[in-house]
Amino acid sequence: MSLGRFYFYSDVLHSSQMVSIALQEPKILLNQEPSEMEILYLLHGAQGSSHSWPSSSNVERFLYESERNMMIVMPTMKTNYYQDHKIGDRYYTYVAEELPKYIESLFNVTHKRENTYVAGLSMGGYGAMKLALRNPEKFCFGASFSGAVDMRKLVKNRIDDNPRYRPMFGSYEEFENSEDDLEYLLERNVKEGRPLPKLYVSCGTADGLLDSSIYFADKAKSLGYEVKLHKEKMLGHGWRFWDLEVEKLIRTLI
Amino acid sequence: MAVLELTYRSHVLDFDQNLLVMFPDPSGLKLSESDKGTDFEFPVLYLLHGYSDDHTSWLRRSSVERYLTEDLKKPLVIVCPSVQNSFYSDMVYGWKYFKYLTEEVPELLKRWIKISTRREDTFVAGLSMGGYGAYKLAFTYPERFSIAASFSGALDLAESGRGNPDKDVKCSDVFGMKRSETDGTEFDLKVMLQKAVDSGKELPKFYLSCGTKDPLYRIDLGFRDLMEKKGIKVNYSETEGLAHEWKFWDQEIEKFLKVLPLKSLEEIRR
Repeated sequence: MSLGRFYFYSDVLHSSQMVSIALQEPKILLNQEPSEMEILYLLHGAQGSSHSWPSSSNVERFLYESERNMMIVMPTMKTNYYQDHKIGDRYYTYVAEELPKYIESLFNVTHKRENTYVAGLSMGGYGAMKLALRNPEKFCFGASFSGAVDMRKLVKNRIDDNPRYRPMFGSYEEFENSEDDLEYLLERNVKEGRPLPKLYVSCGTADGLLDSSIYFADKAKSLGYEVKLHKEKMLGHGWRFWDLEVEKLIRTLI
Repeated sequence: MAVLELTYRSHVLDFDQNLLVMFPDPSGLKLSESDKGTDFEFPVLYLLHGYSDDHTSWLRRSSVERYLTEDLKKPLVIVCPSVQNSFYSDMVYGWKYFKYLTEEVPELLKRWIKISTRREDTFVAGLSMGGYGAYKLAFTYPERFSIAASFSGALDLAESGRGNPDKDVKCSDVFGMKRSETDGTEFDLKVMLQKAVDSGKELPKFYLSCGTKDPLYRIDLGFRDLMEKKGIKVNYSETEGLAHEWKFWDQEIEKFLKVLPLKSLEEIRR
């Protein structure tokens, strides 16, 4: 099991950033022919960090067991919704542009579409869908576990109550039909004839976000996306579920 | 600052090992300025730690990372491995650290990171035991390295054990004998030097430095003389008044980075 902690100074965020990186184990890797690494961006939920996935799940071991030559990149987002704030820092630009470009400069990845995936939990589910749907030419696959994928509802309900929402999203009117609005992106890609990433949407049946996941998956399906919706019986919004999901993800990725 | 600290299960050693890699920052690669490709081939400096140290020592006790990201205008990747107290050797009673460092680490780096494997882009330097290690790598694989540097290197193993019974028996598991008995054995740098000379291969350029208050000062001077006697040019430098200490190594790594023949960002773009 190989895990790296990567610190660097981001020009976009003008601050030091930390990213966790999981790589295939030498024993497996050195017995394979050299090949280009696949790359999975794995996004954490609200209040999390680049430590969340490595410490709360078995992601490192699942990668090892899969024997895939893959690099898993886990950035830190705090509670910034993978969003270029209307007032504040440009977290989307960091995670969707600067980070991949930097990773590609240093590591043996080329971000070929068929080798490039993104997945995330909760807030990171929204982030993963946003990355995949805003850049359908770059990602062949996006996955949301217990994702905040019905952001229209969330923004509408919270914009006046949660003091962080206005600086982040502006007003509801600004959010709707913008490139941060997943429903808009779903439609835009179809309308413009863009390639459609495969989508995976899952949620525990004891999770309050279940309806959002079903709503989002149904909408994507009705627009012609290849979507798999999975409902996990009894499980709620927690790591027992996400650990199961990330194992499945690494094992079954295209 | 850009630092990657990796932990993995080494295939050769069969236990978890750490490796620290320093990179240029996004600004150093001018990523925001251009839409040009990102296919680089970075030159590499293997930077070796001393006795009692590990892969983090250079980062923590010197300012090498700042010299790399702020002072150096040309890109370079610095790799700091960890070999415990093995003298960069395949231990007689223990683990194969030399094999680990010369076979596994370069192969892993090549698979993971966009490094150049060309001789002209590959350098090695180290302090104390790491100076011994740097020269050992350079004498054993002169075709891989174009420059090798020793700062306060433990360049004469046997001599450094003599008259110091305590030190003499440390690392007996590495050498299979006392340190003072290693003359003429495979652990003797003088033997490796002779082999390298006899091979007729082009040898790397050598940098050798020591503080005048360092207990190894005489030994390092002697080794420099020996190399010169064999017709090898040594770029030698000493600092008056400095001992076996980080003040000296911090100064040396700053100096050394400046003299490396590095290529510009445009030149390392593939």
